[in-house]
Amino acid sequence: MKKSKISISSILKWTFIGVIIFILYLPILIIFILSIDSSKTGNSFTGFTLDWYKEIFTNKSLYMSIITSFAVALTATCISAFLGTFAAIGIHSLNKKVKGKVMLLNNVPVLNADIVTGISIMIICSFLVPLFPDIFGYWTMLIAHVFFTMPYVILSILPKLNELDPNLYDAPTDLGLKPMKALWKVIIPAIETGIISGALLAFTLSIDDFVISYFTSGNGVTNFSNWIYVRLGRRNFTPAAYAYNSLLTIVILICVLTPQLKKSKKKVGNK
Amino acid sequence: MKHFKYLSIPYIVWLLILVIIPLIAMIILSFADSNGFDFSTMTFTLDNWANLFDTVYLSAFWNSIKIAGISTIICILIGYPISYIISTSHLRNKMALIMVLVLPMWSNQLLRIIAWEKIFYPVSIINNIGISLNLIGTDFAVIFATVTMYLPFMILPTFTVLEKLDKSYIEASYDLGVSRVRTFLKVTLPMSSKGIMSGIIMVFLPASTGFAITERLGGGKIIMIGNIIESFFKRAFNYNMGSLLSLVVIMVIMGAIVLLSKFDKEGETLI
Repeated sequence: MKKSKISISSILKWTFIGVIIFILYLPILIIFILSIDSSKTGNSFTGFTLDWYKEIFTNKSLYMSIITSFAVALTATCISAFLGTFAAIGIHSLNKKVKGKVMLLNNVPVLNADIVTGISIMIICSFLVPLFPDIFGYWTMLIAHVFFTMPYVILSILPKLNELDPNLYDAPTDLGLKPMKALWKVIIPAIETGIISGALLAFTLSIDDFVISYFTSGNGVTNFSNWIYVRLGRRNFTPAAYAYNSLLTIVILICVLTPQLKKSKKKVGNK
Repeated sequence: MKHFKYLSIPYIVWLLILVIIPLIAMIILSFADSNGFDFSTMTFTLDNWANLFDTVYLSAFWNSIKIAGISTIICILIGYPISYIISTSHLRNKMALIMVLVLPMWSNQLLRIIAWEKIFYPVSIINNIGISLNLIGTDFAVIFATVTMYLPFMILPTFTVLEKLDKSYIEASYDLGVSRVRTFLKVTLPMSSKGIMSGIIMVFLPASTGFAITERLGGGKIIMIGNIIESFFKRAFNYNMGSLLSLVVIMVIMGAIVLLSKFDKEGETLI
């Protein structure tokens, strides 16, 4: 009796999770269907085509926006990860009271509304326009993306620094290593996982950003999300955007899930 | 490591510049009637503040709180049970399942909104399988899309705390003859409240201040505060009223940050 009761509740549980997974993946499925649908409006399925996949490489404004997305995300991630590491070490060394205040400040870009962050950077950068007339575009987006991704890098490094043995720094300096060298040779390798996960988070947030880039792009330079947004419902929108996004999603799915599956296979082997 | 303190100074300066200067500019703009960001020709006025309680803005604020609030509650009701089921299951690789649930975030968020838009109109690709929906302009459509967009942000933090939770507390409770339901209410739930708290923040704040979902799925009938701010800055070029409304949003979020710092003194719960 008891056993059948448990199995009914577990069937209910897993159907619930299955339904939620289905709903979360439904938009991705729809995007994929639209990417192989020959109808340009996407209001009905008129036939199979791969033309939109070819168009990714021929539609200049589209592939330029994709390149901009990657250029901004890669540079912003490198800057945030590099400078964020030193900033995190600095913040970690502060005394508790000051640290709390700095963390409050650090949380401003994390918690603030994207729309307000975007407008703030837009305001700051428009003060710079008299000095640098062409600043709007790549450079303003870069400033904005470093601004909103660096706090995440710091948030993922700080817990690693807290786990460190305080003597880890004293040992190499006692042995005569200069402080900066000790930092580089001992502390940074020890917090490497925090830096990497922070950088991955920064890249993910940056490449998919829409709102902040919406306010900080300009002079014809725009990223993928904004390329879509300004073209929605217009003639110059093309389903090649669906095609590109489907390709990207499939690549990411494979990259993330293969190591996970390998892991579970290994565990089966161990048993 | 005390003498690495100075490494935090450039970062603090950078944050102060990018947070404080736009804030001051917004305060000035909110008391002015200006031509864009042109501070030389602007005139002092209190009109913006007098108009703040206009029904258009009040209803937009109310809509934002209502839609984001309902979406957040639904996210808790779906996300927490999912985290609970997975963390208490006997799966070999729980993380893989969590990854499956979180992965849709890597697909472009705007395109996911468009995917819902495409099937919420009466004429759509799902007509081919005999379904026709007419949901554009309804609260349901907006809330549904918001929940699917932000659900992973509820699952991640709640799963993390449930995984870290020391299972021996629950066993102790069972051993003392406390029922499963009471154990859940008195032990598991309070011990995972931190995760729910950061989930609420990570869902409610972006959901209440976004504008893309209402823009595409609201059919012009559902206006949130993000839509109004966006139109002031990007279409009407009325930076004065736009700044004032942004200031209100900032004040609400500041309240949330202070509230969060009461829960968590170190300010490191967010990830």
